[in-house]
Amino acid sequence: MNCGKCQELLGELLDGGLAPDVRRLVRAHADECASCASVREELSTILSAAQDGREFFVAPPNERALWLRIRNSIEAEAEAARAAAAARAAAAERPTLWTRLAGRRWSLSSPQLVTVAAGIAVAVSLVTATGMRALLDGRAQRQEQEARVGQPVRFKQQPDELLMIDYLKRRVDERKARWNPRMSEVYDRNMSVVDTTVEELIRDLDARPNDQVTEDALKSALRDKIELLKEFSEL
Amino acid sequence: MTEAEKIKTDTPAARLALRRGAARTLASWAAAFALALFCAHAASAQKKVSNTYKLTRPSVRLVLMNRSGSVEIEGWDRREIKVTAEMESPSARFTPVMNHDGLLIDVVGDTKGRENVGDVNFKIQVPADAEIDVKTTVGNISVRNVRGSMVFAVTREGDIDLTGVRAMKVIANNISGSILFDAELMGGGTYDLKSTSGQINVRITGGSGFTLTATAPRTRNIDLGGFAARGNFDFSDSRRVWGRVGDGSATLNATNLRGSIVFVSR
Repeated sequence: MNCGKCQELLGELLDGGLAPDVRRLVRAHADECASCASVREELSTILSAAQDGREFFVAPPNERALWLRIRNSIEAEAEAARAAAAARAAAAERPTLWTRLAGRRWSLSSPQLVTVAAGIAVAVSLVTATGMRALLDGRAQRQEQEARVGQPVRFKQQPDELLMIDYLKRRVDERKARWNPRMSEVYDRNMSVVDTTVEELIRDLDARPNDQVTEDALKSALRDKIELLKEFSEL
Repeated sequence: MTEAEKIKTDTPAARLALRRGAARTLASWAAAFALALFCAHAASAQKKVSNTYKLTRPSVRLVLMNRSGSVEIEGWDRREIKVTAEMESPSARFTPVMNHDGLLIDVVGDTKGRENVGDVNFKIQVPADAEIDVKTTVGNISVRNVRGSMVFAVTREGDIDLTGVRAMKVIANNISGSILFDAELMGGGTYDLKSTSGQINVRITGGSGFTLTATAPRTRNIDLGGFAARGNFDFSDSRRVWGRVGDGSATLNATNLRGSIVFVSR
């Protein structure tokens, strides 16, 4: 599974709409891939925020007080609007449609208020979700464009990995003198296999940047290299 | 000796024949002596130790960390572990430790800093339900007829042969050398096989249900055998095949960076 496919399915994963085997694959990828894990976390945060908001509108802690406040506020607004309308009516004898609407007294029942509040919640959620989607799509497009238009993306090894490899190599060099010739041959032979593999995979990745299979293979080969060095540094 | 024989040995040809015979006899004796000396030396250099550990706990784990030499582990129906080790060099030594988890043999730790430790070849018999965690830097690993919850087998250079294994978690990992995984997959089990340059052979029962991710990025040589028709696989990228067979309940990951992956039905 590559990052594109994984991120495409993340929304459905969080909604619980994926088949178990696909869910397992997406989860496994997101557990290993830092970028997908970050997207999953962002989406999860948005979803939980939206859910929290919905809960607030559907079941406020003090429902009666809230409705009273809303009603008072609407009535106050209507009063103000009436005053303004009266002022305008005094100026212009014939009221317009707007002044008639604004001057109308709005009286909403509790079910109507609930519907209005739920509508606001849904609208806010929709706007947030659409905004996030646009943001993520834009980011993905920008990355694609950068990869296409810019210079070839060269693989860069993690600094901590490089430090670790350097440290272990020095330890191996210190200890190598004590090994018998056969052990030295085994080390050289296997390190050569791993190094050749790493070099080939880096070349592949330079030729096809963002290729998930090569990226995974390269990570695996680098892990092998560190394990090999670790093991021989302890002999 | 008759007079006639005495006359025959007196001839130059007869004397030459006698001398050649004596030289041959002498050479044979010398060779036999050299062989005896070599055997005596080899016997003194090679050391073989054997010990048996009685078990009282129902479950047991064997942890072995070897630096060089083969490891053969076989499950048996006794509640004891029998360890037999052949040590190539007198400087090789190890002290098995029996603790509450099971038996720990750490040749790497016990020979740290020693020169020319040489091969230590192990033959170990364990209760069939034992958990196995074995690692050798150089050498083949063979685990047979074990049904414990886990089998970990790691070597840098050497073949790994897991035959008749029935475990929930299996890890086999090497850089050079082949991996044979001849086992029964269990629902919910995870099986990770990884090699850098050898060949991975997977021999599992035809009715196994598993989710597979097989990756061979350099060779693209992934042969699912009869399982290709039995399962639902994505072959769109020949470097990585993934999909599932049956209920897909077991997870099987096979990665071979420079070699092939071959599946065969049991």
